[in-house]
Amino acid sequence: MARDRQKNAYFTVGLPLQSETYRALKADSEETGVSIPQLLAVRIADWYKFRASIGPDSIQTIKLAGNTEQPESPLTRKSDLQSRASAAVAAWGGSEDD
Amino acid sequence: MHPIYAYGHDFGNAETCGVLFDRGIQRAIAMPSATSLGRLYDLVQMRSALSESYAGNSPEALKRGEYVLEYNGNELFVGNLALKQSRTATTALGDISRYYSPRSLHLLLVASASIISQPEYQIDVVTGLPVETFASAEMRKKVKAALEGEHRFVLNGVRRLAIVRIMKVIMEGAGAVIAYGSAEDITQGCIDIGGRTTDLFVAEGQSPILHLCKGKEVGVETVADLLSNRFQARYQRPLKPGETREILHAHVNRRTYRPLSVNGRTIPEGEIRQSVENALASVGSDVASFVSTTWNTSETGAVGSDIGMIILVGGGAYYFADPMRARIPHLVIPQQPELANAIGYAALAEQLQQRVRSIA
Repeated sequence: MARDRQKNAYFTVGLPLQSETYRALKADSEETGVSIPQLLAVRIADWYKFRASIGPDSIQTIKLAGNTEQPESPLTRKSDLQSRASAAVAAWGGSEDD
Repeated sequence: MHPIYAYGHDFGNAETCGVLFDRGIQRAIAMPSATSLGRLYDLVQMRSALSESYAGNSPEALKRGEYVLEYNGNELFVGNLALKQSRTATTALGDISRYYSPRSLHLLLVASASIISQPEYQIDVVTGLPVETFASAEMRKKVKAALEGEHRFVLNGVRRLAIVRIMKVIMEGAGAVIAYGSAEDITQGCIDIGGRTTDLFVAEGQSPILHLCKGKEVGVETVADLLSNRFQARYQRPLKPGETREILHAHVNRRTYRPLSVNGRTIPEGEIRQSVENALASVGSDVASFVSTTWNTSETGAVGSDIGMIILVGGGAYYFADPMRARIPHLVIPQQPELANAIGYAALAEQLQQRVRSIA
């Protein structure tokens, strides 16, 4: 299909052949029957939708239990968590080796 | 260079929870703290005979959430598989040395490897000890010695390497206050009801107030014991660990119980439900009176009224929320309370990693 450069942006990207990302992408493409270039566009769109749905400052938990893997709703704001963890470092001291 | 993750390891009497931070996403797992001797080969042969055919040692015979660990020449079923497939599954309930036992390491390896896709990885770990045993420096050293090191193992037929570095051992309950407490310098507490113990933790900000931190041997497994004993008294056989676990999970999720049989007779569901409710009420009252005795500061009977925020966590939160709320109106119960400690441990591990990097 002819490229419509007025409508779309086109990229040449490289992924290491031995990488986990490439392996997962290839498996995903085989499973869904969607070509890798098209799948790249779909998955990137998914990622931005997903990030928008949880908010930039939230944390998503993926819990694996039994036979299911289900994303849970955000548990705790990351900035608050970091702030409490930082206070905990002061309260509990440094690492076990200190 | 191996990928390095901050990891929280909560090795409970009944459940082991692991949380790791991976580029803004937490990955978490909860599994029964059960292991038993068992061979993948035997399991494959059995399943092959029952339905489909699998090659000799094919991990394809394993269902999702089933784990077979090979470590140091031993082969073990871990988690649900141990509970279902072995009569000798053990969680070493109540045995305090379990925190530095090989079982804790086995659960750490399986839990971390199941949420990390890379075959070789490093985890910087924070873990916890019950309030009553935390004060022992010897115990903390033993925990570190038992878990730390380079561990080569095979999980579900795949060779793995985990480099484990223990960053810190803190009190159980402290993790939950990191995960869900206030960032302000207020007095805040946590009630952590686990499988075998209930830990009470109170801190000023994040600094523990030791005289308000106490533990007691009572938890969800006490309900399971009561249930099994009463079942034996009435029907002349105890309940297996897998059966009590299924009944309690079904009860808390308001599902129908799986039928239980004794000598070919199916026990009516109503009878089991009544036993479960009685056992929960009895243990719930015990837990509530322990909290009241430890934190009661007012003559009116109000519990924890001088503690600005109280969080209820651990698997017991699903079972004992009502009796706790009746005494503590300002109680907060987070989503997935069983993961609370592990989330806080992982957050602390990440902060300690940053501190180590900034010093290096």
